[in-house]
Amino acid sequence: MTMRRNAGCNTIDHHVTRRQFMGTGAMAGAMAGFGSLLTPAMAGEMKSKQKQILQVYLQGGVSQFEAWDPKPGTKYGGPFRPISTSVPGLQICELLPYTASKMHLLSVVRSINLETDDHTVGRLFMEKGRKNGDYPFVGAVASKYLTTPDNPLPGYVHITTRGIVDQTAGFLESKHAMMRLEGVKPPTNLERPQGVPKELAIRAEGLRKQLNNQFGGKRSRALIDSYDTSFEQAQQLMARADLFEKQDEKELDRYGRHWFGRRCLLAKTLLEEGVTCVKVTHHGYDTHAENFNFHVEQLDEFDKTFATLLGDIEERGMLDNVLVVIYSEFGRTPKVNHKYGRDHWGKSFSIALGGCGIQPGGVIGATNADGTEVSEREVDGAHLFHTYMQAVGIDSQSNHALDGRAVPIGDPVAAPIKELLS
Amino acid sequence: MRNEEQDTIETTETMDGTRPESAVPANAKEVRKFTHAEALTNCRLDPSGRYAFAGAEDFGVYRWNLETGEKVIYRGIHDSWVRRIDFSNDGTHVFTSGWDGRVVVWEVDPETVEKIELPVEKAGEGRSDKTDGEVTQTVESEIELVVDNPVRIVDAHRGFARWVHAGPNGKYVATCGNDKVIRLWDAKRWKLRKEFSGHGRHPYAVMIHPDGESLVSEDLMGEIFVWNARTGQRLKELKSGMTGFDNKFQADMGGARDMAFNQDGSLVGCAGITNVVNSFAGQQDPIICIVDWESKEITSHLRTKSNSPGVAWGVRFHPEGYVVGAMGNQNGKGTVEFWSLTESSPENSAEVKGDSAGCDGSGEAVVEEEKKPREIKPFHVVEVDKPVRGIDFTKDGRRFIVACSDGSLRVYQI
Repeated sequence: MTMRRNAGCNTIDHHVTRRQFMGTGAMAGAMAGFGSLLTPAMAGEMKSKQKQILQVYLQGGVSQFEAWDPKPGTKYGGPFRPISTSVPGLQICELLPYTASKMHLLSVVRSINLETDDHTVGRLFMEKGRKNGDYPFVGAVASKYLTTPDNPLPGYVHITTRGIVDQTAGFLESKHAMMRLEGVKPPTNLERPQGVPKELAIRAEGLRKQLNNQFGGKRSRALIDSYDTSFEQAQQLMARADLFEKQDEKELDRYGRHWFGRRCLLAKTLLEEGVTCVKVTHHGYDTHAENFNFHVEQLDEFDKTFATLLGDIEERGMLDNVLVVIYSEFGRTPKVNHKYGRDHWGKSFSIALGGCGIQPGGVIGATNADGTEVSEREVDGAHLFHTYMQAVGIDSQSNHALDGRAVPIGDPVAAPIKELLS
Repeated sequence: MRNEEQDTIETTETMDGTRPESAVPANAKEVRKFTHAEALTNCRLDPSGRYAFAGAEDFGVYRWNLETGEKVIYRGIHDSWVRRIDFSNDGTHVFTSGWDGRVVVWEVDPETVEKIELPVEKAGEGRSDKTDGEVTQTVESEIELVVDNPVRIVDAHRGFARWVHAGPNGKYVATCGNDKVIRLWDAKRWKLRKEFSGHGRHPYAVMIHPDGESLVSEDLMGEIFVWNARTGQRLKELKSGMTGFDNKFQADMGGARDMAFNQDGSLVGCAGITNVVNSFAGQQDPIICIVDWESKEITSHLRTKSNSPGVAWGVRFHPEGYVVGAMGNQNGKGTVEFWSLTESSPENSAEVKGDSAGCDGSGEAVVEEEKKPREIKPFHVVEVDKPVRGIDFTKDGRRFIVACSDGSLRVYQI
């Protein structure tokens, strides 16, 4: 059974139990194994047509001053300097030199105002495009509308060590919920227990199906079908455990041997294998103390690894079909506190995005001179959600069809950031 | 309003020039407070004891004359925060190292100080002119004293120059930065003499031993390296424990926030943090580790009286033998704490380590004795209402200054 802890800085994820995994995550079991089910032609087809999303979540709230919106020499600018990027006239913080060399592939939105400084509210707004309500996350919507019916891969995989246990599918089928991988490891509790012969396991599987049929006799099949799908995918995953056990040494040299490097290398593999939405979390940005030393360490780890991943996606010709988003639940306060920290700040912060459907090399919006408020083209999580959806070809202004009810995919009060769309 | 009584600095010598009685920490009192609009990052007293220098979060370096209160701004060169300040051996030059990777050499007492007149608007103060019954704001002027012509600018490190320390013989200056390299420079011409590589993570501080023959450095992971200054050979590695991996947020935090030798070089103190619980919120213990130079072992852990979470931002050895530390606490307060290293302590006992019988194949027990560092509590604490980010003493130990996060620089007398 999963638990949901209080919001804010203490919100952490919890271990996935077998039940939770079977309910939502086990479908990812097949993700690695499914590659073997695709013919090279099918894989090529998937790569050429399927729209995908890569979310890089900087958990805790990366500082906009120390990343995408530097304010050198101003009251709250902090100690770091801006550097030029591959886009003339666009500067970002000096802590991101490798990413700076790839900015011609990305655009920056500098004018986000979520009107919240709460981790959970901010995170859900950034993921669901709504501040309230049981709506599905970006990854779940992508899974539903972008994953082809014959694709047995999970639609939405999150690689993390810690993370948040959210109801990511909302009102969509549970097979579109986020499947969480604890780092570069297959989900636990999948292997046949020692001492259980193969024949017995096969009989047990038969019994499971029989019980499912009995249980589902007069009930809706949707949930049970979803569990069945999950279970089958889990079985296929077990056949491709090698994906998790051994990562290429040369690739690790390029990506970095730290956790984030390994996660991003797995993310690349999963995108290549056809997973629709891959989310990678890099932890450690909730810097109420030592904001500057922590950003030196964390962004040093992020920068080269992310730039390598982005470069590989581009080099493989995948960027036209993969939307890349680097985001947080909010930014950090302009004011530096007495612990050399910056606190939560959702009033004026930034993200970067690029790839599928996005005009590269642009800057949307602006903050004022000291970075204390948005001064131009204010947007929020709803605008961003619409933009992501439109970028990958989902009409966010149309509706989900739910048992005869029409539920708007994106918040009707907002619209995509059209100038960002290609 | 400034307190005139507080502005008076009492003399540290008697009329006949002899030293007064011992400096008693319990008598420490704040005698003057200078203010600045931005938070200070560190502070030093020049060798004459006449000037206090401090870095600030506005990229400036500020010099206060302790007697007159005159404030001079050294600016225009650093485009980042100044992390560390030191002085040439003869006291004529001040070295400032910043997060911009530069070390800047300035004159301590330059002949040319630019005077800039600044308009200052003051509502309801000074001369008031009544117009239609309303009081208008009066514009007065304030003179800003500026030094913007340094003697030398050194691009010392690719990445932040976290530390600068001038050696005792005046020949060399040591620096370290985020390129993970320690550099030894010719103090006069600033020619690079030697590089020391080996720290796996960012070195936070480096000091030249008073004998001039060796260096000591400490990095983010709390690893203390002792180096032969001539050969570059690493003579000793110590794991100080002044670091921690924050499990929640999966990042390391630690390293020396200050470092100092005692007067004869027999001890070095390293100030920082330990017992990391949640460094992202500032939840860790301040600590000062004392290293015995002869044995190259950590002999004492100096703990704060209150055990409040925070950071030890400063350490100094007082001429009379005790150790003084400056703390910035998580709760928004600060302390200056005093420890005696000669004080007996129940924790001061050798600990038999390991169950290693037969490990050498002889069948006999090999017992390695390892001295656990003494855990020492302070014998006196001076409370400060704001976190303290740096401390320095006059040579005679009769005055000390602290730099605070509210922009104040406070002068204490013992």
